[in-house]
Amino acid sequence: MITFEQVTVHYDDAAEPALRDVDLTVEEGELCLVVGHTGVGKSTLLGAVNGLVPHFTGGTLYGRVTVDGRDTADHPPRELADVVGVVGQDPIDGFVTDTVEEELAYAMEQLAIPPTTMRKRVEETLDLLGLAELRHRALYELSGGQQQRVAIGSVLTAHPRVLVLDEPTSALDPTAAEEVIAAVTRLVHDLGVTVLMAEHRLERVVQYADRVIHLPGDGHARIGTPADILRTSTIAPPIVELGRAAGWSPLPLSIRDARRAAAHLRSRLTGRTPGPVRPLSAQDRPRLLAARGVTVTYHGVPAVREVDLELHTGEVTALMGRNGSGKSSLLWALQGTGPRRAGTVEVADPHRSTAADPHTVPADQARRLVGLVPQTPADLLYLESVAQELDQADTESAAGPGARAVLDRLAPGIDGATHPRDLSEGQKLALVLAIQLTAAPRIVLLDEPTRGLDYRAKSALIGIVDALAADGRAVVISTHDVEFAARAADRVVVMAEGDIVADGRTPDVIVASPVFAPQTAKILAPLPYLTVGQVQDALLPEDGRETGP
Amino acid sequence: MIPARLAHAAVRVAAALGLTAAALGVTAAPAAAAPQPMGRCTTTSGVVLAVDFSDWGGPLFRSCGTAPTTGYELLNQGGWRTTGTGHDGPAFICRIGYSGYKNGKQYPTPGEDDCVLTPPASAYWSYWHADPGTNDWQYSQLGAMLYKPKPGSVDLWIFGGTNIEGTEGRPTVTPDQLRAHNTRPQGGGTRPSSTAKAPPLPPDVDTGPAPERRATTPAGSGSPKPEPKEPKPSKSPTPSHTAGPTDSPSAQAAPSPKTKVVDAAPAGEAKHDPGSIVPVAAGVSLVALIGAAAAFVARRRRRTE
Amino acid sequence: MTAVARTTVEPAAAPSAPRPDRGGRRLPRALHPVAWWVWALALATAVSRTNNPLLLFLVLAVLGYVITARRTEAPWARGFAYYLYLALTVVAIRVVFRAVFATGITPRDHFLFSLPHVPTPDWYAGIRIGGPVSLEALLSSATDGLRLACMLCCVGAANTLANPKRALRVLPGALYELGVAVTVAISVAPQLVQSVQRVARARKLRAGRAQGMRALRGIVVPVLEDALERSLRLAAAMDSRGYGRAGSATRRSRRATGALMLLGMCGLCTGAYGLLDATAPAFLGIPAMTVGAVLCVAGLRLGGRRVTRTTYRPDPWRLPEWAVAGSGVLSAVLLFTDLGYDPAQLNPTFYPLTWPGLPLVPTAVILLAGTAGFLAPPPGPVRKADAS
Repeated sequence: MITFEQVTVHYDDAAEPALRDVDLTVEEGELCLVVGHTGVGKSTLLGAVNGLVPHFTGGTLYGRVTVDGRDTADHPPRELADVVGVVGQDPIDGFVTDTVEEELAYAMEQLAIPPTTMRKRVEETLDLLGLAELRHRALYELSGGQQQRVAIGSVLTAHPRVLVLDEPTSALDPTAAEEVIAAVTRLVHDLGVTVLMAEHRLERVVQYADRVIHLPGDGHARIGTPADILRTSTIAPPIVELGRAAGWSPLPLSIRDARRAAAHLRSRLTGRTPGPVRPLSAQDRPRLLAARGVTVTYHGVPAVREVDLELHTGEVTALMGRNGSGKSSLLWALQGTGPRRAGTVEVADPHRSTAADPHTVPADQARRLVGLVPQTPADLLYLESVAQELDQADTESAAGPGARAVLDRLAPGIDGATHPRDLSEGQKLALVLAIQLTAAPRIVLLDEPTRGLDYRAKSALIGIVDALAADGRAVVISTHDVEFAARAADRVVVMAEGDIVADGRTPDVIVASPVFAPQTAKILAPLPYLTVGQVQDALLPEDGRETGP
Repeated sequence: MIPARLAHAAVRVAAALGLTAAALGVTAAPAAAAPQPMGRCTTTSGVVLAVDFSDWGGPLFRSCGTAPTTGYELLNQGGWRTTGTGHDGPAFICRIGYSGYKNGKQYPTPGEDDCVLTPPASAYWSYWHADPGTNDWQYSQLGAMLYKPKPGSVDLWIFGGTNIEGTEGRPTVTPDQLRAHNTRPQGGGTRPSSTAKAPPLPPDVDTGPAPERRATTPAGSGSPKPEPKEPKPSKSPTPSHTAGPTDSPSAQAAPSPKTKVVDAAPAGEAKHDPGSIVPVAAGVSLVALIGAAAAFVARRRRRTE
Repeated sequence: MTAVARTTVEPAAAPSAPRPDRGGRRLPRALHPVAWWVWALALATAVSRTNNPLLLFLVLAVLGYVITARRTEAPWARGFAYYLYLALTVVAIRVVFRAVFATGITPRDHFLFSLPHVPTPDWYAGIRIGGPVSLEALLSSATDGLRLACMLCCVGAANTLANPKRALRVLPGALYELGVAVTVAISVAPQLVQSVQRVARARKLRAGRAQGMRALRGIVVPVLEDALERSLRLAAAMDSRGYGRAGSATRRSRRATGALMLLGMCGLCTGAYGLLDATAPAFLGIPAMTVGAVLCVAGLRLGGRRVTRTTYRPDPWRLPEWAVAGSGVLSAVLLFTDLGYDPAQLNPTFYPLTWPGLPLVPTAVILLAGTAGFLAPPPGPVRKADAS
């Protein structure tokens, strides 16, 4: 269905080609996963399928890409619209009309499909993706998962033989991601659509994949069955890491298979107490922040309802909950910049002995009490180079450590001359965090920092967070990523509809939940293991004993 | 061409808005200007006002007013009356009427021009002056409320189109045909006045001291007949002043072959009918009715939602 | 969903009292947007003819009724109140201007009050600022403003009754790109506002004390970058979904289209000039207009041929559409023909003060336009956000 023959893509301003001598074939009806770290050319590979690369993006493509027999060299993306459907990362950016029904019809209108056929296909697609209830709704008022399903539906109505999905679930909470993945697998199984999908969080999709294309980073691509590719790839979901650690073969990819394979492992581990995910710190840590009855409303609609929260020094807290449960509103209210309708926030002021309310003090003082990195860190960046941003941060803060020093500790090796826009998501995050840390706040809030980060960047972020906690700061991270929370957080707070519904130590909160449990916990339940690291630690001495004598 | 038109219109509006000092002058000293019989105007005193109704088959009227005055006052005394536009107010002369002609009907009629916006450059009252001693018309650069005619001069209003320089659409009569040629005031008690037939002036009408009325009528064969049932300001037997050489000095001047010149004596105002309040009440209740219907529909919609 | 359920239940709840037939056999549906636009523009044309406050208020009442009866529950259908505010502002501005830039007071006027007079230099004698203000001046400027306000409300009514995006869809194929650009711009505007709010809030986190240009830059740069990236993604999405697929256009036909459109537009301009300027030669009026229109239509047809596209659920044009558009056009035509009434009553003067009359034919004509409230089918059932 899709063939790449000796494809090399070279962008004009890049020293190295993004793709190099790629040779691969995706068969009809396959769900093919594209994996690799950020910046290895996943988007280039996906864009080459429908001709966006190079027709839209520029650059030069050597070799031949054919889709359903059509050469993309002769067919610009619009002429391939009836064969390839493309869905981007942020569905709202691709919407042309404003209601669900019209969006579904848009592509068909462009293809000049007769009105009667259009009507029929729209109805079918509404049913296929479970959108019938939403048909007249405005697109902007849909939830993220619904929007993504509409985006998929809007390309499906043209009856493409190939669906290209670029990180379709990266902005979604676990439940919404499930919705979208379920819809995609249904298309593959029921309609035989060929799907090519890039995804960072393999734990969500790897079990459904027929084949995996791995981009190791040198421009080449490897294609094979998931078990083959993942056995050796540098990118692996926890389930694969666990399988590798336990030496399972064949490598299980779904929780069900893994649980079957894990029977022996569970019995081996029974009776042992897993080591802590994170080093335990002193129990009576001083309190840094106390919030009482914090309430936030937008136009009378409550986003946060009378929340009480305490933050302690050296503690990393994960704030979880579905989209729209009030996580961001709570963080902004704690920082003092966001609106707060009622309640009090008291932050221990390091400079004075009294407690201060960040909502009532001036903004420059508030950021010395609480630092916040917003969901889109780039909103804070407006200068031409990293060095300028750091200098600006130093003048803004007057006191405190130099921004450059902080940045080098968080993410070493960022060139000062780089334009902030050219940084990767992880680097942008580090830069903004460094800027915020120049004010030396003792409380650091991160709003969805894991969005768009690959496994490597997440590990780096965990390192950063650990360092912040080790300095005696209190860190709050709002996230959808349970695997990240399991590894990074001491404590998990779950919000729903503006209320805190669970608050406790990470193992206590997330193991019990079917939605929030990490893969390791699901596989090894009822054993209280959260991360592959814990299992490895538990196995190590045993292996040592076995091999020792 | 279009820019020229626009500029023309703009100048006319600006001139019309130049009501300015004149307006204040009027309120300050309303009694200064007064209508006079034609004979009271001489070569050095009084101002002759001439208005050409020939577009509607009427004569060219002329009458006399004392100086100092403004062009606007001249046009709004002794039975003359004007209407402004809705947009610019009374200062822009849109209609002119004389109570002695067609019972004070103002021209152009509402059917011809609604006088809401500035009238088109092809059909409006253009304003011309002739200073004493000159026999040349000058297109007025000022609005009627602003312009103060000199004693012994002639003010002429003709209907039609002109360009902005006043070189096109010039009057066909000459100032000498219209101006007063006597050096001393004539008339006064010499002519039989027809005050009995003229309507009494309303007490609040500010036309200055009651003038001596000497009525003339445009009762020529070609001119429309005055309606008999209405009180006419004039019932002079003199059919046309072109035919009565003794009547006024103007008769000495040969009028243009097309236009008859008729002296218009100071006359009372055409009676103003303030209208009835009944249509207003009906309109208001109709609006209220529809409003109530809308409210009812809105309530029903809200209930079914 | 509850709305549908309740409407069907209601007759059963009150069986004894026969309810008025709500729309009869007509199924609820949206009227063709062009029908509403024709109706509203015709009414605006009719309004331009009159200065009679009674008739103007009648038009406003009729607009209010039709909107209440036939608007949908969509976001754009809730905006008429804003047009009313705008209309009030127009009237207020008109009155204030007339009072400040005085247009003269005659001895017969009813003096109300006097504003301080600001002297102007002699060479500027045409404009007078301040001075006495009469009742007549205020009344006539208020009605003048009301007329403008009324026309504004007519346009507002069209926007309220017809979905602006659907209205754009009826553009001829050759102008399709224009419609898309407007549609995208309409949806981008709220996103831009959101973006500005988000960045402005984020700026506070950095406690940027920069004032003036620097502060502005801190907001403008991220917002523009955001907007640029978003528009690139939108363009890519539209391209991949088949936007701008080539039809059967050749270079020659494209040139012919351009030439036809250009000539047609020239013809329309000349025609408009000829019609509006009474001194222009007669052949410049209607004939030039007709030729221009024919050329334009030909150009659009030719241009439309290169666009291969179909429309999803096109709005039908049936009897109600004819009736609504017709009622509007008829009222405009009747108000311009001076049939059966004194045209003076359309523009009553306030010099001297006179009660305005209520001429029978124009009143009937405006009420006729109001029948659109019954002629149009009822709007579709309310669809509330079912999830919330």
